[in-house]
Amino acid sequence: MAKETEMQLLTGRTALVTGAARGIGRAVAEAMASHGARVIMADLTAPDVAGIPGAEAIALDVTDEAATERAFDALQDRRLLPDVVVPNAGILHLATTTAMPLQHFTDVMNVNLTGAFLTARAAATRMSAGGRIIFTASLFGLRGGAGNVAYSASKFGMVGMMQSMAADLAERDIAVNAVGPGQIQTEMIEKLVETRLAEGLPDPRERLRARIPMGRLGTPQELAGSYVWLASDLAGYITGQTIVVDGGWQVG
Amino acid sequence: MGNILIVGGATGIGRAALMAFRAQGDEVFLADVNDGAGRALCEEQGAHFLHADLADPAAPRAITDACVTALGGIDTLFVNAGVLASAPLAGWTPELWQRSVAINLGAPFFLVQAAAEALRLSANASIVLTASTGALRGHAQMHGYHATKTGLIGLVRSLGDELGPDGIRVNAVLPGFIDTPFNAPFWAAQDDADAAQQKLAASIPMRRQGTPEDVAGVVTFLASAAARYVTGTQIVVDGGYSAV
Repeated sequence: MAKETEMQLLTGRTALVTGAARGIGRAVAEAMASHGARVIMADLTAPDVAGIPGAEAIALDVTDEAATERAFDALQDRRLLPDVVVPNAGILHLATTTAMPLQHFTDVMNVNLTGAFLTARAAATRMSAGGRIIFTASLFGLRGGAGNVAYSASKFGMVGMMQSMAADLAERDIAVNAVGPGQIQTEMIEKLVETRLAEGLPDPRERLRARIPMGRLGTPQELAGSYVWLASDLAGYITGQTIVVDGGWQVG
Repeated sequence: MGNILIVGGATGIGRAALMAFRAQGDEVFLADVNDGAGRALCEEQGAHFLHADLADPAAPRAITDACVTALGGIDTLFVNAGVLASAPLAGWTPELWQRSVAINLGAPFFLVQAAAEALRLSANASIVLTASTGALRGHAQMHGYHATKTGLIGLVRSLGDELGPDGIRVNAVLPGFIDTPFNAPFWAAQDDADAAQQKLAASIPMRRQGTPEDVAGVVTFLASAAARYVTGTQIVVDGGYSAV
C-alpha cells in the first residue's frame, strides 16, 4: 500500500509492539513507522531501534503483570500512551503429545496467551475511542497440527480471547482483531529447520512449499501490511476477526 | 497504478470501491446493469463504463474483453454484483432459484475464467469476490442468497489453489449489514422494518450498520501489494456482528 501510493496510513498514531526484537514483530514496527506512526518496540531486552524513525525501545517481560502495568504507566506519564497495541510476543515448543513436558506447555501458554492478555488488558484499560488491538494469532489457532499441542492451544485460546475482547470493547469504539500467519520465514522457523536437519530429518520447508498454492513461505514484511491496514482508518468497521495471511496454505 | 475491473458498482459498495480506487490513482472499468447511475458515476469519476447484464451467459467474456481493450490489462477483478431474493419456502420457483445461482455464483466464476488470462500478466493480480456474512449465518426466506454466498467461500478456496501458482490471489470480502439500497428486500420482508433495524443495531457490537466506505477499505487492501501473501481466505467487515 505504502509503496504504490505513498499514503501514510498511520500518521498521528502511537503503536506498541511486543516481541519486536525480531521477525514478525520487528517487521510490523518497521511498517507502522514507515506509515507515520510513533513506534514503541518492546521485548525481553530492549530491541535495537536503529534505522526505524522515531522508534523507542523498552524492555518488558509480557508474563509479568506488575511490570506490564508499570510500563504502560510510564508511557502514559511520557504522553506516549499507545492507541495501537500489538501483543505479538510468542514462543514455540514443538513436541508430540506424549513427549510434551508440562514446563514447555505452561511456558507456551504463559507467554503466548497470558502474556497477550496482560498486554491487551493494560492497553484496553487506558485506551480511548478509536484504539486498536491486533494480536498475532496463527493458522494453528484455527486448526491443529502434529507437534503443535501447546502452541495450537495457546493460539486457539488467543482467537477466542480476541473475539470476546472485541465484544467487550466495541462500545468504546476499540476494535480488536488478529492476524493469522501461515508459514512465515522467521528465526522461529529457521531454528526449527536447524533442529530437524541436525536430527537427520528432511527440511520441513520443502513439504510446506509443495502444499502452499503460492509455492513459497511468506516474509515478515508481507505479513506487516495486514497489521498496518487493520490499524488504519480503512479497517474501522472490522472487529473480532482473524485475517489469514498464508499464501493459500489452508485451502491448498 | 493498477487497472481495476469492477462488476457491479453503480451504487453501494461497488460505487464506494470505485471512488476509493480512483482516489488513489487507479484506472477503473465498471460494468453494471444500472445504466443511468453507472454512466453518471463513471463520467464524474473518470472511469470507463459498460452496460452489462450478468443474466446473459456471454456477459463475462464481453466485460473482460472490453476492459482489456479500454485499459490494456487487468490487475484487480472485483465482482460485487448480486441479487437478494426473498420468498417463503413455498414461493421459491425454479426460476427464482436459478437467477440467484446464475448472478451470485455463476457470474463470478465465469468472470474469473474470462479474466484469468489477463490477470496472469499482472505483477500484482488480485480477485475479490463479494460474499456476505450471510455465508456464516442464515435468515428465513433468503435461501438463494445464503446458498450462493456460502458457495462463493468454497469458490475462493478452489480458485486460490488453482491460481496461486500463477501469482493470482483470490479472496472474499464478507460484508455484514451495510446500509445500502441492496438490503431493501430484506427489510421489506420484516414485519416492522424500523423496529428490526433498531434491534439489529443493538445486536452489533459496534452498534451501527456499516457504510459502503467501510467495505471499500477491505477491497483496496486486498488489491494492494500490502496483501501480496493473502489468498484463498475471507475478510469479514461487520462491526463484530458474526464474532459474538
